[in-house]
Amino acid sequence: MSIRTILNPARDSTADILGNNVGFVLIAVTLITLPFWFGAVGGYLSLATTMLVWILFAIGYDIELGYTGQLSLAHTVMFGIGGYGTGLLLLYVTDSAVLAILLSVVLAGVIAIIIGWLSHRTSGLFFALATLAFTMMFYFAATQISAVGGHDGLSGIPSIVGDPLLEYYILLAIVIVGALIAYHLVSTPYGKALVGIRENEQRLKHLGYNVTAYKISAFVVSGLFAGLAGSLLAGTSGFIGPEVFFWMTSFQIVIYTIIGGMGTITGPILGAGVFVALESIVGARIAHWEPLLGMLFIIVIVFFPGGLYMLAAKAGGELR
Amino acid sequence: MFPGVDILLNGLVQGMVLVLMATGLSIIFGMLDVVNFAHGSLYMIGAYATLLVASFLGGSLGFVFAIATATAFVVAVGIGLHYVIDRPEWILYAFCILGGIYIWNMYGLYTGIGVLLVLVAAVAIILSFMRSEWSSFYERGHLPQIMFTFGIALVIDGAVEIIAGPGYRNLSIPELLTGSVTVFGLTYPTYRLFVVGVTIVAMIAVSAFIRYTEYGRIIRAGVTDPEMVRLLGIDLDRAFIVVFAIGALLAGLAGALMAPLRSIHPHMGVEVLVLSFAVIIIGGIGNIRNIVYAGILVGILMSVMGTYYPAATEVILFVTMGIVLLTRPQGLFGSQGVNS
Repeated sequence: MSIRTILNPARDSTADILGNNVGFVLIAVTLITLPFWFGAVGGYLSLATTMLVWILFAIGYDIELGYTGQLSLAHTVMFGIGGYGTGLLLLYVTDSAVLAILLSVVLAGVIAIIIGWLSHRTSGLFFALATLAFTMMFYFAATQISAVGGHDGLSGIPSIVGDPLLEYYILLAIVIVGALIAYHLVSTPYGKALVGIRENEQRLKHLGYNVTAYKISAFVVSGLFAGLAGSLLAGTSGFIGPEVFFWMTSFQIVIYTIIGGMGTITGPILGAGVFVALESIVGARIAHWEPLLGMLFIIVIVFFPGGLYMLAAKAGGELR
Repeated sequence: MFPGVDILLNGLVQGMVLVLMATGLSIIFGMLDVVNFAHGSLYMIGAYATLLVASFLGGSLGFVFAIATATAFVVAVGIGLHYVIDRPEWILYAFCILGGIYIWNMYGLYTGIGVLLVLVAAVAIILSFMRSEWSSFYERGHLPQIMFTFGIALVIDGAVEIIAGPGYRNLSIPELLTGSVTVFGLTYPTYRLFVVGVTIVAMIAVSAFIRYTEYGRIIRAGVTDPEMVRLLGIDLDRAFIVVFAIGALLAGLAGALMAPLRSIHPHMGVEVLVLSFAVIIIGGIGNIRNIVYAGILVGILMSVMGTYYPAATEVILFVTMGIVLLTRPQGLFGSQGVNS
C-alpha cells in the first residue's frame, strides 16, 4: 500500500455507479426525511442543521484534500472568517441575511487567495505546517481582539431564517446545490487536472500546467465552501467562537473527510454527517468521545483507506 | 539589578524545552523521514510520569529519580510508537491495553486483566484471518504519517485524561532546588539553572552520540544511503529504533523538567508540539545547532513579548514563522532548501 492507495482508493465501476447515483440518492432521501425521524435516534433539529453545515464544509474540503491531495489546515480560517463576518455584519451592520452571507463569503474568498498564494510557496509537510501557522495566528488574534468578542466569541447573532424547519430545508437546498457543483467540478478537465496534481505533480508541470495556479484555485474554491459553511453556522446557531480557528477544528474536518472516504465527495458527506451526529448523540452519553474518535480514525487509516464510502460501495456491490 | 536578565533567563528556560522537543522531532524527521505528531504526547507523558513518581516518593532525591524513571518510561513508549508506525496493525493491541486499563479503572483489576486477555485473543484471531499486508508508515508519505500519528496523539491524550482526570495538576519544585543562586551580583532561581544545565548536558550527549559512536555513524550512514548500509550487513532497523528512542528520550526529559514549572494537564503536549514545529521551521532542518539557536531565540522572543505585550505573544511567533517559511524556507540558520 503506497501513499497513492491512501489518497486514491482504487475505484471499481460498481463503486462509481453506486457512489454517484444510488449513494447520492440514498443520502439525499435520508437528509430530506431527517427532521421527521431524527428525534427517534436521539437527535434534534438544530443538530441536523449543524450536520448540514459540516457536510457543506466537508464537500469543499474534499476538493482540497481528496482531489488535489493537499493537507491544508487553514480551511478553518475561511470557515471562521465566514462565521465571524456574518456574525459581525448581522449584529452591527445589516439586517439582510443574504447580504451578510454574501459579503462574508467574498471576504473568506479574499483571505483564501492571500493564504493560498502565500502558503503554496511551500509544499508537502511544510505546506501543512504553514497553513497550521495561519490557523494558529487567527486563533490567537480572535481570542485577543475584544471587538470580536475575545475568548467569548460572538453570541446572539440573529437567525437568518425564523422558522427552524424552513431553515433546515433552505440549508439542505444549499448543500445539494453545493454537492452538485462539486460533483460537476471534479468531472471537468479542471477537476481531472487537480487529480493529476495529486497523482504526479511533476508530470503535470512538464505537461505545461501551471501547477501552483491550479493548487491555489482549488484552495480558494474549497475555501469558498468553507466560508459559506462558516457563515451558515453563525447564521443558524446564533453563536461563533474562536474555537472555530483552533487546530482541533482543522483536524476535525480532515478526520471527517478521511473517515468518509476522500476523493469521492459522497464519502465526506457521509463522514461529516454521521460523525457530527455521533459526536452529539453518542458523545453526550459517554465521557470520552475524543479518544474513541481517534481510534476509529486510526482503524480507518490503517485498515480501510477508502473510508466509509468504499465499505458501503463494496457492501452494495456484493448485494447485487 | 537588571530586570532584563530575569526575562532573558525565563526565555532561556522556555527555549530549552523547545530545543529538546524540536531536536527530537527533527532527528526523527531527518533520519527516519517520519513526521511525529505524537511527539507532544510523549512530552505530556513525561510530565505526568514525573508527577506520579515524584509525589509518590517525595523529597529531592525522589524528584531526581522521578525524572530518570519518567524519561525511561517515555523511551519505552517511544519504542512502542516506532513498532506501531512500522507495523500499523499492532495498534489494535495498544487499543486492547487501553481498553483493559479503562475496565480496570471502572470494575477492578481482575476484570481488567480478563477483558484485556479476551480483547488480545480476539485481535490476534481477527488479524490472522485478515492475513493482509499492512504496509509500514515509514514507507508512506508525510501526509498519511501526520494523520496516523495525530490519531495516536488523540488516543494517548484521551487515555491519560481517562486515567488521570481532565484537571490541571501541579508539582512543587523539590526542596534542594528551590531558592536562588547569586552569581556576579545577579540572582537566579536554582531550578531554572538546573533545567538549563540538564538540557545542555543532554544536548551535548546526544550530539556526541550521533557524531562519535559506532551507532551514530551507522545512523548517519543510514540516512545518506540506507541500501548501501544494509548491503554491508548492518541491521538498520535496530539503528532506527535507537533514533526513535533518542527522540522520545528528549521529549520525555523535556516533559519531566517542565513538570514543576507548568501546570500539568492531558493536552499540554499540543501547545509545545506546535511551538516546536515553529522552532524547526525558523531554525531550519538538518543541523542540531540551528535548532538550538532557533529554540533559544523563540524562547526569549516569547518571554520578552510575554512581559511587555502578552496579548500578541503567539501571534508574533506565528507571524515570524510564516515570514521565515515564505522568505527563507531553508530556515534562518539553514543552508539547504527544504522543498527539494
